[in-house]
Amino acid sequence: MLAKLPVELILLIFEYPESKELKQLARTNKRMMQIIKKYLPKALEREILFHRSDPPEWRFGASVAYYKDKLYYLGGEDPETDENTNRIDLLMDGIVARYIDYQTMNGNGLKSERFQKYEVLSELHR
Amino acid sequence: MAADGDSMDRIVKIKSKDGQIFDVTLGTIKKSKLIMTMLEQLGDSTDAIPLPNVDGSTLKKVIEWLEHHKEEPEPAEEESDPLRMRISTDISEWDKTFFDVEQSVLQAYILAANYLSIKPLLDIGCKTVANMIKGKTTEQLRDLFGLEDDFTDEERAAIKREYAWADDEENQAAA
Repeated sequence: MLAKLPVELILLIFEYPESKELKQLARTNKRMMQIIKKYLPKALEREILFHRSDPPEWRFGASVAYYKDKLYYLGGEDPETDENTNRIDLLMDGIVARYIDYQTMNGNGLKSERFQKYEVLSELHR
Repeated sequence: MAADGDSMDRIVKIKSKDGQIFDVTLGTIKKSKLIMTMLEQLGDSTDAIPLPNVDGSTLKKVIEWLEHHKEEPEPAEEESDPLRMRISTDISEWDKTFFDVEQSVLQAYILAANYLSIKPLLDIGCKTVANMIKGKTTEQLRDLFGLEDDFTDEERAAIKREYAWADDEENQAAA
C-alpha cells in the first residue's frame, strides 16, 4: 500500500513515526530512501544521544541556564553549609540538540527546565 | 453558501466514479471541503456532484464515517510547530474498527479523504498507517507493505558509507 501512495500522503504519514522507525523504512527500498532523504533528511542523520550530565553537586534552589551553546548550573545553597552560593558550574559545552530535563528546586518546590535546539524534534519529548 | 441552520438538512447528491448516486445531507457532507467548494460554485443546481476519483463502495464508507462524526466540531487550524508532538495513538475505538480493513481498502479511504479534502478522516488514516509502522524491522516493513528491496549491492554499500546507522541496526527492530 505504502508503495502506491503519492509522496504528499506518504509525507503526512511520516509525520508520526520516530526517526528510528523512518530509518527502518528508508532501508526498505529506493523510493522510501529517496523520499526520506529528500524531504526528511534530519531523520537519517546519525543520532548523537545527549545524556543529561549531572552537576558536581546538587544544590537546593539552583537553576539551569543555556547561554551561547553552553549549559550552566547556577547558584543555589551549598549542600554543606546551607548558605546561598553564586557558584557556576559548566554542565555541557556544545549545542543542545535534544531535550535535556533538569529538575531544580525553587521557592515553590521542584521545577523542570528543558533545553533544546529548536529545529530538532526530540524523541524524549514524545 | 450558508452552512448553518436549516440548510444542514438540504439533500446533496454525489456521484461516484462508477455511477452510484448517494443522497446525503449538507450537515453530513460539510466536512468535505471539496464538496462544499463545488456546492458554492454550482449554486442551487440539484445535479449530482461527480466524484470521478472515488468508487461507490469507498464513497459509501466515507459517508458512513461522515455520518458518525457529523456532530463533531471542525478541528482548529494547527499552527506549524516543529516541536509539536505528533501522536498517532489517539484514535477512537469506533475509528479503529472502521479502519480495521485490508490495506487496499485503507489506501482507498486515505486517497478518498485526500481527494474530498476531509482532513479529520485523512489524519486518522495516516495515523493508522503510522501505527502499522511502529516497532517493525526493515524486513517486516517490506513484508507488511509489499515493498521490494531494489537496492543494488553498490547502493547498499553507499548507504552504509553515508549513514553509519544503516550498518549498525541492520536487523534491529525499531521498537
